[in-house]
Amino acid sequence: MTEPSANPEIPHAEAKAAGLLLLTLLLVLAFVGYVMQARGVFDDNQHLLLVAENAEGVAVGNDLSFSGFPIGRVTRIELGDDGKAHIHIDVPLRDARWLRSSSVFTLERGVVGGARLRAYSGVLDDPQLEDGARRDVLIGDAASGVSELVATMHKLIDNVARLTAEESALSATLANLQQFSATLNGRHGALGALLGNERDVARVLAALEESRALLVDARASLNKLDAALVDVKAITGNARAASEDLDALRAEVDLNLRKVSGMVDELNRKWPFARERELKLP
Amino acid sequence: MGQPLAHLLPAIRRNGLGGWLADLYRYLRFAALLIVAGLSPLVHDRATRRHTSRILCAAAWQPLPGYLLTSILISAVLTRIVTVTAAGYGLSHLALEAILRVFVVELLPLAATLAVAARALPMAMQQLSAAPGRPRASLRDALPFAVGNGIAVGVLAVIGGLLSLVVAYLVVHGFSPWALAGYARLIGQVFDPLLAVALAAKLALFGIAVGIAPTTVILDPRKGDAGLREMRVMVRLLLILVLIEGSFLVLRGF
Repeated sequence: MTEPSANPEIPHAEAKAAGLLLLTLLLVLAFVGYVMQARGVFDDNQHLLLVAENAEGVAVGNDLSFSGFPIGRVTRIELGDDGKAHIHIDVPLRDARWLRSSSVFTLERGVVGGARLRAYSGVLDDPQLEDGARRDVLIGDAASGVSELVATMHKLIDNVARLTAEESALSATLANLQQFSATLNGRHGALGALLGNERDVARVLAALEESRALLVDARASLNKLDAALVDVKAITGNARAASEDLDALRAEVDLNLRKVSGMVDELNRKWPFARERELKLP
Repeated sequence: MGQPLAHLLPAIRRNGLGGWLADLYRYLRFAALLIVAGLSPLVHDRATRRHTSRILCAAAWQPLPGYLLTSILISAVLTRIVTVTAAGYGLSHLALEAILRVFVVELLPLAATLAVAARALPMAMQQLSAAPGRPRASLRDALPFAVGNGIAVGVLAVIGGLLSLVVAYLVVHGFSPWALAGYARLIGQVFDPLLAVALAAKLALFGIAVGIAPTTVILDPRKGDAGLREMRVMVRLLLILVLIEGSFLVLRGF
């Protein structure tokens, strides 16, 4: 063998190479062990069979989570004899306590990402789920609502299209509104828009003219009435003064009458033939 | 069939299709012999082992600090970019998985391969290519290069990959130990048996390619510019790497 003379001179090359190899080997072994531990190879597991209408989006290795924490792992998915998807799950024994006989399992599919298997245990006092249990999965599919949404949107769009069609009621209404606004802007304005034809407009205008003339006449009559009222006011003033005079006259008459009455009484007392009115008893 | 191929490959134009196939056979035979020799313990005598150690140190030990530093930097930046972008779209739970699948599984092995190739090729050209007054190197001379460079790919890929896993965790979760369980679970999900086997196979093939391709300079004709010959070997190596990557992509499709 011809050993090349230009070999790189690296001190303790063999020791370094051996160290590198040893380090790499140790790292690989440690990583393999770590991955195996992470995949639950060394755990004692409890088996659980979930039956779903379909296993779309579920993959081997997916987690079964409880309260957001992974407690189990999908180990196998198969199409069962009943035509349903059978999802086999291994749950480590230390986490199996969260699964109860009353636990509910759901399979949720988001618009983005894979499916999520979740377990809900409402009553933690119920008996623990037995090994090898079989449960149905409730499927909550966010994407399944999309088809319904699309159908509804189709209906909505059809309705809008019908509303906005050329022969639609809305279109006719809009045309009428346009005609109305054009009439509003026309020669007779709102009156023309309200009445709709020239003849009626002319009649209304004539009636208005007559009303105006009547109002002028009424105003003249009212002016005359105002003058008459002024006279009446003056007459009532005179009457009030006269009645005041009458009051004074009546008071004077009363006074004179009282004086006359007093004088008559005086005459009666002093008159010798005054009749004795007093009865004297024997 | 020979005519269109002749336009594509200069070797065919030069030697004809038969000559090109004969060359291809020579290279494949040389590679097969190297692989067999590499797997034969008796061939690895003390001198060969010492030489292999020197090549391994030159290809892996010396560039290790720079390579690890670069890996840390790129993995930290990439992890940050991916996590921030994923958080912006509400996909935080997928960010770390994407980093593991794309960076650690796909990019880092390729980066390690290219890093080793960048050092292995000039070394092989310098020590194995024919030169006036130097006897033609033999298969035994090429063996330490093949073994040393091939192992160097594995060493750099493994150490860089594991370091990137740590960096990705630190970038996302900081120094908190409470996310370790979830991270371990995620690593367990990503590195399923199939992916682990595929990654090991890919690393092995990359190592074989980087180990053997530079040594094929022995088979190249002595005439011609040294730079041109180095370029030819580099193209050969890149072609093999592309073939390996393409094969894995096709296999993944199935």
